[in-house]
Amino acid sequence: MSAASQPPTASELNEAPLVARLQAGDAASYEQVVRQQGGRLLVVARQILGSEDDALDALQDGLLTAFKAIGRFEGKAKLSTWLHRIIVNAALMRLRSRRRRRERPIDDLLPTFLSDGHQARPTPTWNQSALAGIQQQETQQMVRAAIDKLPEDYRLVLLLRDIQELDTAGTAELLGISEGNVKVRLHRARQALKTLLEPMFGETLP
Amino acid sequence: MMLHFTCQEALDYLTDYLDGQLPAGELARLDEHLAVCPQCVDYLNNLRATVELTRHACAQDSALAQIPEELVQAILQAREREFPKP
Repeated sequence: MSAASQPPTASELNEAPLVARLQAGDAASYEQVVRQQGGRLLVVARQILGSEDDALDALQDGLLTAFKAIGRFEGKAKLSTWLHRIIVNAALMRLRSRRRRRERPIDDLLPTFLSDGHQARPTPTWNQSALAGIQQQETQQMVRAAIDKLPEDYRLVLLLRDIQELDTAGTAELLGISEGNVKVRLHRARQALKTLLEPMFGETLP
Repeated sequence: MMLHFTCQEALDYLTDYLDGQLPAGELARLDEHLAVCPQCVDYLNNLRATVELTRHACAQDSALAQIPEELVQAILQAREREFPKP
């Protein structure tokens, strides 16, 4: 579901027979959807919530919400896209109900400038191994740990835009903020994450 | 005559630049700045690497994309209970 290409609709994918069976209350079709889509959607909830128990609860809440609303599904989007949006919403609701953790202010992680507009501190050159290990589990875990250190508002935008590959409009709608705000938060989140990754990948300057 | 970008202005546009969403006017001014500012080129390269690393950070997740059987049963039973067949 990238911004670059229009995702096919349920009608284009000929999901209509499955949707019709769901709308008629066919138990086997519900089981098919839960088994085929559940794992992928659990990953989405897990990425947002971190906690496995919360993710399982959000998946259950979200799927039941979707099943309740299936009568209103018109096939304008792919069924999986529609379900994804509902699960993200369920996960966000659960996230908001949790006590907010103590967060490091994003400003600490953003670049600073001199009065003439030049960067106040040099940018370390990243060594060549930074991207060489991109497929390695150890590198991926390090990056995930750094993402988890971002303030929540920024982590969510980064997650939805750069990992779950939603477009700006879809992200704005889910988070209830403007598209301009999504762009600002994404830029700051990427900058802050770069700062957090620098000790791992940056070469020390003389 | 166009004013030159400072580093501060140049850095503000890097996400739009990386996402291919920078309007032509700003793109020309950013390119002009990058041509003379190695520090901002380093910054851009590191930011680009950050985005690539982020996109791959959850690559292993799909391998773990399995829904526990107990949850499948719990969801199906809850549906039967809450939304009986019309």
